[in-house]
Amino acid sequence: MSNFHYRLYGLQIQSDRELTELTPISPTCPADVVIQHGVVPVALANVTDSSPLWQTDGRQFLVTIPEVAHYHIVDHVITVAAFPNVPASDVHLYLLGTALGIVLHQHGSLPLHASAIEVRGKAVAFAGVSGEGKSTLAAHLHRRGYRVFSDDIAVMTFDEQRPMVQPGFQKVKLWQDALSHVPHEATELVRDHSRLNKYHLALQHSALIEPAPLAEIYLLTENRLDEAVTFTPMETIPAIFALGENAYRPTILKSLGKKQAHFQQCAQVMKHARMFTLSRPKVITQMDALIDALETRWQAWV
Amino acid sequence: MTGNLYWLASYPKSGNTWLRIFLGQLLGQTEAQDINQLALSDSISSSRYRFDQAIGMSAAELAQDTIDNLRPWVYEKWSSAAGKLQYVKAHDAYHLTAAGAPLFPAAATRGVIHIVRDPRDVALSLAHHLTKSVDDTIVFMANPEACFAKAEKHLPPQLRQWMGDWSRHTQSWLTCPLPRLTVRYEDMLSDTLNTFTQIVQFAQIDADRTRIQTALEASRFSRLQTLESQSRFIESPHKVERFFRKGQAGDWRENLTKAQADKIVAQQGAMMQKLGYLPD
Repeated sequence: MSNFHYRLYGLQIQSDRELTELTPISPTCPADVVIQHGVVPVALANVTDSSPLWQTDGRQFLVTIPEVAHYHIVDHVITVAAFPNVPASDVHLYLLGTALGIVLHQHGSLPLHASAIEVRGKAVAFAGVSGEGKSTLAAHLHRRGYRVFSDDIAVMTFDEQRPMVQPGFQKVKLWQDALSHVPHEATELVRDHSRLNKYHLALQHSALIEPAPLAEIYLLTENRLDEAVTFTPMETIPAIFALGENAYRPTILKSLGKKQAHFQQCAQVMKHARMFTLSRPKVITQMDALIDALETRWQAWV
Repeated sequence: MTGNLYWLASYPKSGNTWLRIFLGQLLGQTEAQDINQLALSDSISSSRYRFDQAIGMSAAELAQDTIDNLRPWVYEKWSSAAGKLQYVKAHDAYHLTAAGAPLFPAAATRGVIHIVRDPRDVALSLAHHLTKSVDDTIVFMANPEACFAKAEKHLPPQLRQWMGDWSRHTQSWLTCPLPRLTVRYEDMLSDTLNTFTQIVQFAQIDADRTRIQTALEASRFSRLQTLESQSRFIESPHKVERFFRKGQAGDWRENLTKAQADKIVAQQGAMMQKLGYLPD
């Protein structure tokens, strides 16, 4: 049986089924992650931490998304057991999200809950809790001509201690309100499986995006008074803590016993990148003003 | 009941925030001069942030019914991790999840403090809160499918809360199989000290009359209005200027048309009668 090969978040992936979300590559070395479809354990034997959706014994993980699939993760092998008649795109949502996120945490990469774009050969990340506009901002920046590394999960690896943002897959998840302000073609859209008015918008790029050093991180917060956009530089220590809190799936990170290592990585990031809080008005129609303000900042880069 | 959670249960705009501010003042935050520092912190059952932290996944990626099915587990975990009594706002009706379990599980519960308010006053306050017309709000209050934070077009910070119509919501808590104290908003206003003393005793808070009076003074409506004029209340909806608007009983007599008041009575009359909002 032939396998499919991909590169995602700096990892080479081998899969026994096609992952249409990703661009195939020719493998250059043994895979970092193996995805296979098969039988998964019903439960783990010595559970050290759990929620109704996952359990771990510290090494293995078993993730269950009701009515979608089970994912068993052990030593960089993800085994998928989908429920009958579930579309592959639904199964892949959690496979390339939470399940791969666990592998990334185990692998020693730094996955943040953030979106990331390319600015003049460097990477700029937008972090913040769900609903603060990370994806919306990435979609608007893409429409302005910026290339997008990833949405929702921004992965850093360390190249001689320097944080490098790795390319993810080129789509953003948007709610209807946000989508209505982003110019798009209907053919670029796929409906989200779990939520009625949420869509996946495919992003086209002229060329494959390469890893880039992280330059800036913006922590998005909603300015409820609808005042002007403000940028506030963060001191190093609060920035490290803020980054730590913006880990991808922080509860799972904790259960892996990786919190300390994660914190050290965040400290490493802050030796090379600047972090700001970005307080923005809630009203989405003011997105142009926000992007103008960002571009003014980026033009001043030396 | 041995859980650590007290549910502060009410239909929206019935005095829940006032009660949380009073409890916040009673249990410690008496020095605060900022409207956003007064209430009990971290005390909202529908907080999406708390759900995500507990479950270890993002609610944004889960179906609404799946989220509901997981909420009882979140509350049981909250209760067992708390180590002391917690007072937690709930606008949902008391109901079973799609999986058939009580949304608010007995194992997590110490008791329910249930507040009711004349639905004619609720309609005025809720119309303001939702920036809807009073007529549309009356329709909303009679809709058995009515929810808060339905996440239809964007991702709100709260999880979906199914309330149903006002009468059914009220009935659901009046008949829930949990230890319960039901108080009327109107009595919180007119017989303040006695009503709040009753709440404090039911809530198993050890506080004497002086402390209760101090907390009441710090959470009096005019003070909340003054503080809200100094900085925006974060629980206020986006388009709403003032969360603490009037806080009165009987405002409907001035501000509902007869047709509107009659419509509410026609729709909600049986429950209003039961709660003493209609003449016998």
